[in-house]
Amino acid sequence: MPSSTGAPILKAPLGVEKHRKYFDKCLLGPIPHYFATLEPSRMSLVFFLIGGMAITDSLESLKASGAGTAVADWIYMMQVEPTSENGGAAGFRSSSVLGCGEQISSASSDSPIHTLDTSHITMTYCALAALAILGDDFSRVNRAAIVQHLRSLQREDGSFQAVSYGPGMKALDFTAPGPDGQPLPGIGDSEYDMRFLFSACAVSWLLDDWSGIDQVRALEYIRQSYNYDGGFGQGPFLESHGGSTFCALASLSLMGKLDEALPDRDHTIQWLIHRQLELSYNGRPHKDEDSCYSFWVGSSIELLESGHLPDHAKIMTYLSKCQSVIGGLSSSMGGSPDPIHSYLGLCGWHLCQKHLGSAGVENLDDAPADFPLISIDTSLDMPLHSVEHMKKLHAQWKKQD
Amino acid sequence: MRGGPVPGRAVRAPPLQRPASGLPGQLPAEIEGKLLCEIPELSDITPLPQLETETPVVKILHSDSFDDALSYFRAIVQSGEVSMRALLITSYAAIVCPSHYSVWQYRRKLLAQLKVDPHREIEFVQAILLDNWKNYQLWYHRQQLVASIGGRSDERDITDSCFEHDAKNYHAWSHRQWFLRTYPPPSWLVEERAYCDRLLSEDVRNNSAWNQRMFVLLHTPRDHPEEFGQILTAELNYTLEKLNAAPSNESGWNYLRGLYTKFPGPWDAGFFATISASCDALLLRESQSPHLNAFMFHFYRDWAARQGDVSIMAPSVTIAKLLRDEIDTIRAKYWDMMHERVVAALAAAATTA
Ligand SMILES: [Zn+2]
Repeated sequence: MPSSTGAPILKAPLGVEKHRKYFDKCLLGPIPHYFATLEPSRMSLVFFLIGGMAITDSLESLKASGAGTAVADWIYMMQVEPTSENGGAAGFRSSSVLGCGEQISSASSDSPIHTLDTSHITMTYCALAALAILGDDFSRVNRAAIVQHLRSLQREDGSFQAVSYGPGMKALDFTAPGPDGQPLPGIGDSEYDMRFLFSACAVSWLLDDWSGIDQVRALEYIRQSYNYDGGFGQGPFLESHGGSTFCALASLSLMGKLDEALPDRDHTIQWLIHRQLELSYNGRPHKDEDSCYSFWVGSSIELLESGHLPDHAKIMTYLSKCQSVIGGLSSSMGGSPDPIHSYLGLCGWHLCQKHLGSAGVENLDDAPADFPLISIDTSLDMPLHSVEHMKKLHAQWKKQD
Repeated sequence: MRGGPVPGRAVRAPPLQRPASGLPGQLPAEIEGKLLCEIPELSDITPLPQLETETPVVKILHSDSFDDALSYFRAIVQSGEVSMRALLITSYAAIVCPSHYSVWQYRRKLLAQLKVDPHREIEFVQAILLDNWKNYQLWYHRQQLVASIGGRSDERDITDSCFEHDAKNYHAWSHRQWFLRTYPPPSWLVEERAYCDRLLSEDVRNNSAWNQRMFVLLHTPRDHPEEFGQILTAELNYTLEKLNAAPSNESGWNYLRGLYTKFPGPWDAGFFATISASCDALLLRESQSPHLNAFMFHFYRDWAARQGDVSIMAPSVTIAKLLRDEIDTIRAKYWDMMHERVVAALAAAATTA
C-alpha cells in the first residue's frame, strides 16, 4: 500500500513462518532461565506452544519428525496416579519440578513426596487440550479418576481450588481451627478463583463428563462475581477483569448456560466493547493495552455473538507491532516475546481476521504478508479441528458405555 | 506518604524493609549469597536434580541458584526431614521460585511441626513480597498465616504499602477484601470509604478504588432505608462532583450507573432529576465527551425501562448518532447497533400508542 509520499510502505517482514519457528524452537527448548519460575506451570507452556504449532498449520511436520509422539509421551509422564496417599488426586503435574517417575516411585513408602505429589487443575486442562490438539486417542488418560478428583477441588462457594494434597499434608492438618472449632475461613490447600472454575469446566467438556462439578454452586459463584459495571471479577466483589470475564463466560458457554445464567448480556457487551482503546484492548478501565486481551476480550465478545462490533483493523495493527523479530509476540510493543502472548495474540489475530477478511488485512500498514491461521474455538481456546476430534472421541466413548 | 486524614485510622503504609536475619528459615547473614551446596551443615544431604527425559519438552534453563535450591528441596521432601535446616531449604526454594505452590504447602507443614510463631513467618513473607507483589502463591500463604492467628494482623497495613507503588494491584485488593470480609475491624466501612476517597483524590481514574467503594456500599447495612438513602445520595453527589471535574472517566460513569442499577429503592426518587440536571450542565462545556455521552445514552434507556415509558429514551437517538459518526468512531458498529435498537423501540411504542 502506498504511503502519502508515494513510496511503498514495507510490510512487516514477519509472516507465519517466523512464528512457526518460534513455537518450534521453544517447544523443543531450551528456553531462557528467566522463564524458570514458570516451572510450576510448564504444562501450560506446552499447551500454548502446541496450540501455536496447530494454528500456524505446522503440526504435521512436528509429527513427521517424531516430536509429536515425544511430546505426548512427556505429557503422559506428568499424569498423576490417584493413590490413598495423595487423596485420590488424578490429572496432571506441571513438570518434573517436584519429581516424577522413578524419583517418586523409588522413594520410601512413608516419604512425604507421596502426599505432596498432586495434580493442578489448570495443568490438567492444558495437558488434555495439548493431547487433543496432537490428535491423541486419550486411551492412556485416567478419565474417571480425573472427574472424581474434580469433586474434591470444588469449594463450598462453588469455586475451585487449584490443587489438593493427601492426608497429613492438607492445610487443615496443620492449621489450628478457629475459636468456634470450625475450620478457618478461606482455608484450603491452594488459591481459588474463576480461573480454576473455568479449568474445571474445560476438563469436564474435554472428558465429556460433568459429574465432577456441582453446576448449581458453580453458577452461583459466577453470578456472585458479576459486577455493577457488567464485567466479572475473579470472585465475588472483586474488580471486573478481562481474564476473569473470559473465564466466566467460557464456563457458562461450556455448561450450555450462557443464555439463562448471564445476568445482563447488553451490559456485559458494553463493558467488553469499551475495553478497546486507541491501540488495542486493555483488561480493566484505565489500564494499558496488552496483546493477550485480543484473545480474552475478543473471545468474550465473540461468545456473546458480537464479534463483528470491534474495530478489528486497529487490533491487528497493534498485534503486528507486538511481533518480535525472532518470531513470537510480546505483551506490548517493543517487549520480548513469550509463549503465552504469542499464542493468545495469534488467536486474537485469528478472531479479527475472520471478520475483516483477507482484503481488509492486506490494507493494514505493517500487516504480515501471508497469514493463514487455523480457526479456533472461542471457549476452549483450541483449534476447531481439535474440538471436532474430541467430539468423535466422545461419540466412541458413549458407544463403549 | 499520601496526604489527607482518614477518620479513625491512620494509613500507615509502613515503608517496608527487609527484616533483619534470624527469622524462621531465613538466611543467616553468614550464609547470604552462598549456594546450599556450599554450606557444611548440609553436606550429608544428597541433592536430587530435576529429572529430564532424553527429549524434554519446553526445557527451561535454570540458574545455579535455582537448581541448587530446588535440588535440596526435592531431597528433603524425599526424606521427610523435619528440622530447622529443612525449613531453611524451603526458604531458598521459595525465594528462587515463589510460584511453587508445593514448596509453600510443605513449608506450612514444617512451620506447624516445628511450632514456629506465625507472626515471624508473616515477616518472612513480607521480605519476599517486596520483590513479588504479583505472586498468587505468596499472597495465599499470607492469607493462611493471618487466618492461623485469627486475623490478628491488620492486613490493611501491608496492602496500603503495596498500593503506595501500585494502587491497582489485583492480588492486594483481593487480599484486602478477604481480610475485611473475614475479620472486619470496627468501623471499617467508614474508614475504607475514606481510604478510597484518598486514592481517588490521587488518581480519579483508579478503577480498583471505585470498585472498592462499591464493595463498601454493598456491605453497608440496609435495614434502615432512610439512613441508607442518605448514604446513597451522598455517594451520588460525590460521584457527580468527581465526574464534573474529570468527565473522561469510564470508571466514574460505570460507578454512577451502578449506583442506580444495583440499589433500586424508595431513596432513588430524586436521582433521575439530579443526574440529568448535572449531565445537562456538564454537556454545555463537554458536549464532545464520549464517556459522558455514552453514559447519557444508557441512562435514558435505563430510566425508560424503569418507568415503563419508552419516550424517555428519545434523546438517546441523537446521542448514539453523535457517538457513532463523530466522537467514538472506534465503536462505530456498536453505536450503530444501539442506534437501531432505540429507533426500533421508539417506533414500536409509537405504533402501539
Ligand atoms: Zn498479557
